Amino acid sequence: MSQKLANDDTIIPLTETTEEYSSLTLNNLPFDILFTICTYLDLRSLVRLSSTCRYLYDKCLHPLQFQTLNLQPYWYGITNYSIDNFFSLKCTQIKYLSLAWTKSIHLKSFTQLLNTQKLIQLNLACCQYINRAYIDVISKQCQQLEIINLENCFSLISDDFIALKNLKNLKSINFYRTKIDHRTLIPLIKNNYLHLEYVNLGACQQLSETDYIVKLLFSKCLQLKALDLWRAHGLSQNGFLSIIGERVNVDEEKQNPHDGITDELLNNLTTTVCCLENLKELDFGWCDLPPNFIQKFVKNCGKSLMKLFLTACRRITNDDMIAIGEYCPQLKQLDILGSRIINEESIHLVLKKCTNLEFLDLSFCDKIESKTIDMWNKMYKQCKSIKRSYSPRDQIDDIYTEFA
Amino acid sequence: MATNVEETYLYSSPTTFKVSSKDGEIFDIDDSFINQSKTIKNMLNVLDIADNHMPIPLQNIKGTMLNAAIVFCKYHKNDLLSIPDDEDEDDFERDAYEPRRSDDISEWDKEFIKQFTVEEGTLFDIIMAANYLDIKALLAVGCKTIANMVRGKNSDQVRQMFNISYDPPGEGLNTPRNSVTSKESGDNQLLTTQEKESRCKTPSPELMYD
Repeated sequence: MSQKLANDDTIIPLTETTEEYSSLTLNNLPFDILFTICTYLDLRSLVRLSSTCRYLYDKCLHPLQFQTLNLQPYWYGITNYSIDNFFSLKCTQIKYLSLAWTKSIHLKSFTQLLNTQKLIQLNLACCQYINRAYIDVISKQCQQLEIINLENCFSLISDDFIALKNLKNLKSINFYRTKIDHRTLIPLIKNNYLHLEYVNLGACQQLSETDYIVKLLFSKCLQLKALDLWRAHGLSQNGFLSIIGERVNVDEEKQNPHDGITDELLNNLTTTVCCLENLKELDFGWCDLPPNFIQKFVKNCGKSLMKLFLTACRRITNDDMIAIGEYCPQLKQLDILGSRIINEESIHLVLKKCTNLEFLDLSFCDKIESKTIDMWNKMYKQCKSIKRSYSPRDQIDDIYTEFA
Repeated sequence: MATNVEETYLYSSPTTFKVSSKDGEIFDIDDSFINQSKTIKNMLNVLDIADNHMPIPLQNIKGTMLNAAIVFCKYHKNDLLSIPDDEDEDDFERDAYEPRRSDDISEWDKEFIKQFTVEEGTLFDIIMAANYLDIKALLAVGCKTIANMVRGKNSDQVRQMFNISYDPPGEGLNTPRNSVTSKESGDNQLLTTQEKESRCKTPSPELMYD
């Protein structure tokens, strides 16, 4: 050392090189920077980066990097071995987990992976191996769970869902195309109604007592921001009317009393008008809404509404549209596909009044001319897309080009 | 927003200050830099410097990097007004666990970051400088650039690109230092290495795809 110091010549080039070249490399960056870099990486790139040397292995595959994990893009390759020997070891701090599309993860591996008590979000969409035993594990081990997605989990039937009622912190539930029924759904809603924000009951074919469920959601879930009832099963005209505080035929109700539903929550609420100030998204697709229902509904619930789907609601009226223009200032997307009643005048009003409107679907609306739509496209630039697939008045012969 | 305005008042009388780099270069900085560098902003609030002729020493940053950071902030001085809110906050179908986007580096930023390279290590220097100065936008551009370089490469390609030497168990970077100096810790080293081997089996990406 002292010899080197004595020789000035060796020192000067050394300092010069530190001027020009940095001593920094990827594998001596501090943890926080590496961590930030890794947050931009997909899982495969992350694992490959961490395979380069041990420093990067330790830093990049830190459990804090696995607070969120989405295995959906790797569904075809996820094995019980990889769960047991890699993910369960790394995911000790996991909060947000998606196992969507994965195939047959064993109950044991599943149990171990979820054994962190910290899970907030769990996505199990299309996981056909999910059965009652898995649901039991979730309800026991995921008490903090706020978001659950079970869409397209076909293997779950009737009572399989029952343990979910033990979860008391749910904000978002997605049961799209499952076989959940009212006996398991109602207790779940009752245990979580104070904080439910997102509910998807689309295409739930086993659902009954849907009128009661919808009334419960609209009158008690005051935090509700999004509700999807697309092709929801079992909604009657009375169900809709009770939301806006009306009822056509009370006798019918008496003849068909709810089987075994205790009504402590909904007592005296049957004729209350529902008022959801936070509702932003609503899908009534294929629900056959009664005429002028929307007109009264948006008066109370339209204030924050940004997306409204009235797909194939054939009986919606021009007065409904006028009310949307009046009471939905935030509206960004409107879908009235398949209406033969709605005319150009009322849609023009919506375009004029809803200045935030970006998407409007007028497909199969045969009271509206294509040339009018062309004109609107030029007049209302803020509306990025007015969709029109198939206009029945022009060229009837071309009806099949849609499917070509 | 209200607090921002108050903070601005604290040092609003002199709008330029001087900073000096590790290698003694002195730079003038103005609001564009102060507003984007939280480190400097905090420092000025605490220091309450009346005499703006005294340069603030930034001992961790070389002149070239400091200069680059100042240029970056000048270009981005108006960005702050539109801090992106979490727009998708209410999009319930969004997966909370998607990796953050890194394909959104603007053209200007892409050109800017090109002057820094892995070979010279300057890319890491500018990232460290951004980190020290706490300039969020610059740090993000640097980290995204590296992420974009890593993405889609296998381990060998990454090693080559970043000049990382493969360290087999028991050697290389992670060998405990004290093992060289004392006999006693020699035993420890053996143990640690074994532990490490069992714990740090080089993970194979194929693990997930078999």
